[in-house]
Amino acid sequence: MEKTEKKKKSKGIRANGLVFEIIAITVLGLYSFTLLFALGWGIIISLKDIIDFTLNPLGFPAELRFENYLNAFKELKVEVAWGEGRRTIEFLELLFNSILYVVGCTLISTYTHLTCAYVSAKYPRWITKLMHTIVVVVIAFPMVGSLSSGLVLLKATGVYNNRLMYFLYCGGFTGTNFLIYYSAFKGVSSTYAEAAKIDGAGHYTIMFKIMIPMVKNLLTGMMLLAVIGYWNDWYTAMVYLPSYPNISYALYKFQFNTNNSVSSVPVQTAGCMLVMLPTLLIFLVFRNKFIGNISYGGLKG
Amino acid sequence: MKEHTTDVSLNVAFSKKNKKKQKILEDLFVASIVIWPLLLFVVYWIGGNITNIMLAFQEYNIEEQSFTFLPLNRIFTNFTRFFKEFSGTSGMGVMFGRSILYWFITFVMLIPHILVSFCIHKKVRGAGAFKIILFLPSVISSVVWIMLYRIFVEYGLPVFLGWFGKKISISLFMNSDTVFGTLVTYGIWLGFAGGLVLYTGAMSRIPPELVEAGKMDGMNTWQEFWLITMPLIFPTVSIGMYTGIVGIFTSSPSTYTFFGGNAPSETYTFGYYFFVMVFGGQKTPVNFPYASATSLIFTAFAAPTSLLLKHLCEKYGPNTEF
Repeated sequence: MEKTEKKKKSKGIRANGLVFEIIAITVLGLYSFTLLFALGWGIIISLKDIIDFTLNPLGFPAELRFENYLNAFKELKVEVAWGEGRRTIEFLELLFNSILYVVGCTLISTYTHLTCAYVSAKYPRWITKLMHTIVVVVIAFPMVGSLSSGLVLLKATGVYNNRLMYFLYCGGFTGTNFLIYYSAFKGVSSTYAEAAKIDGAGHYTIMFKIMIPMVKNLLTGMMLLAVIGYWNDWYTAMVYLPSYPNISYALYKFQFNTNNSVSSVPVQTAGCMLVMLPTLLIFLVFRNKFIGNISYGGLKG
Repeated sequence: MKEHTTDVSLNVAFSKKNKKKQKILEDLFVASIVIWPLLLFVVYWIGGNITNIMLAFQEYNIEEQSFTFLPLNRIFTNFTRFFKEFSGTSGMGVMFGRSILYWFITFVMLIPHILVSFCIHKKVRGAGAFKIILFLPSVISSVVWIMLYRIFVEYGLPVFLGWFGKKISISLFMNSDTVFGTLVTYGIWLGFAGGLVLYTGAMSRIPPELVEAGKMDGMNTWQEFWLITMPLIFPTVSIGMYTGIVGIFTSSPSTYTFFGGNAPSETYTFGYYFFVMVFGGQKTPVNFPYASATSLIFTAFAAPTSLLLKHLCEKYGPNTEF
């Protein structure tokens, strides 16, 4: 009797699991389809002739037009104020600006968040405890940001429109990344560090050669996310670094371009494909590093 | 014997000296790490807020191109201007309603965020592929998605609906009745699987033995979600809940990315309105003091609300740490 009831119960659980799985696969499948359709359709449009696109926007191209990519490459440019006059920044320089921005901001921002979280987790003193409290308070206590005071202050301190200064300005510690690293370092045993200390290793050696390698999976994931975030960031170039536009900002401007050769939808879409290619490749190559090992832990104020 | 005692006291003295040296070295190490980030915090966070407060009581002098404090009899001009506009202009009230509506939608979107993450965490069939696809909105620039969405709505959707005998006479972006809804739909579509990294990360830390024990007691998948997963990831979810309050005043459904500084008034939210006020148009600092004053008014509402919500989450929400 008891056995039959147990069997019934386990059958019910399995059936329930199956229903859950069917619903989940259907919803995720449909949603994934819309994302892939958008990208696939974008690729198709980018290879179409403008007339072909106008007559048949949802169909396959009658003839592949790779010239759209060449046009997009030529026309992705931004005019900026430069000294007394103006100058046009073209694709290769935009690319250079993007790479420099990504490298500078990713390295400095990651370094300061990582090292500050490390000392807060492993060197308990009033200052490091204060830093942890500051991060929690800044996150929990929202100041409705004022762009105006930010601009005034950045101009007053020479950060506005100065690339090097902006990189240094990225070296804060109050982001949520601090808590993610902090949580990771709290979970790492200090035994190896103690052993190295007895062997005469310095604090920097311990940090760089022992402790940071222990969180390298998390660090790689976070750095990749940062690279992608900074690559796609057009807002900073527009608001804070107007003389150093990057490729994402150029794409943002591209959609409002009324120049005949650019305003055509296929050329604009080709521009989209060119700009998204690097991040897409990085993601596909390192896809396993992104998801699964990043978490805040409980945030208690 | 005497020699031995001297040795011990020498050792103690040496070890004390050594400890002191170690402590100094440790302090120097910590200082070398924290000094720059702390300096940035003091200058740009504390300094930024002080500047914001000061700006709220100032005005911009166009001739001298500088900010000067308002005379005492007009010291609250920037604040009163907001309340006057808010109560006197019907547009501001509508904008407020739209801001609340959009914030509410983003708040409700937490539900699909968590459910999608749970499906991935439970490794439903194809979870590996889904994980990659669902991450694409975070990987590819929002400008790319917006351009593709806009092109679909303007060119693809009329053809698609035409297959079912339906017609769109005017672009959804041009129609004042549909433009805001079209932007919000974009936000819902692209943000459907948001928070994947955070929530799957939090779920991956749930001790598997808890789930196993539950399963032995006959727990099904839905019960696992409500009785184990939700309570255990609640601290992560609650952060999103109470920090999201600010969104009422700062967020917009990517309006600036869609339209630049020329969005139709039907799409205005506080976030967009004040951004364009400071950054759009002539880009003069004339509106800076007013924008600072409104940000203080918004903070006066958002900060206590957010702290209250945090308190409620901690008091009445599931209290778990793992």
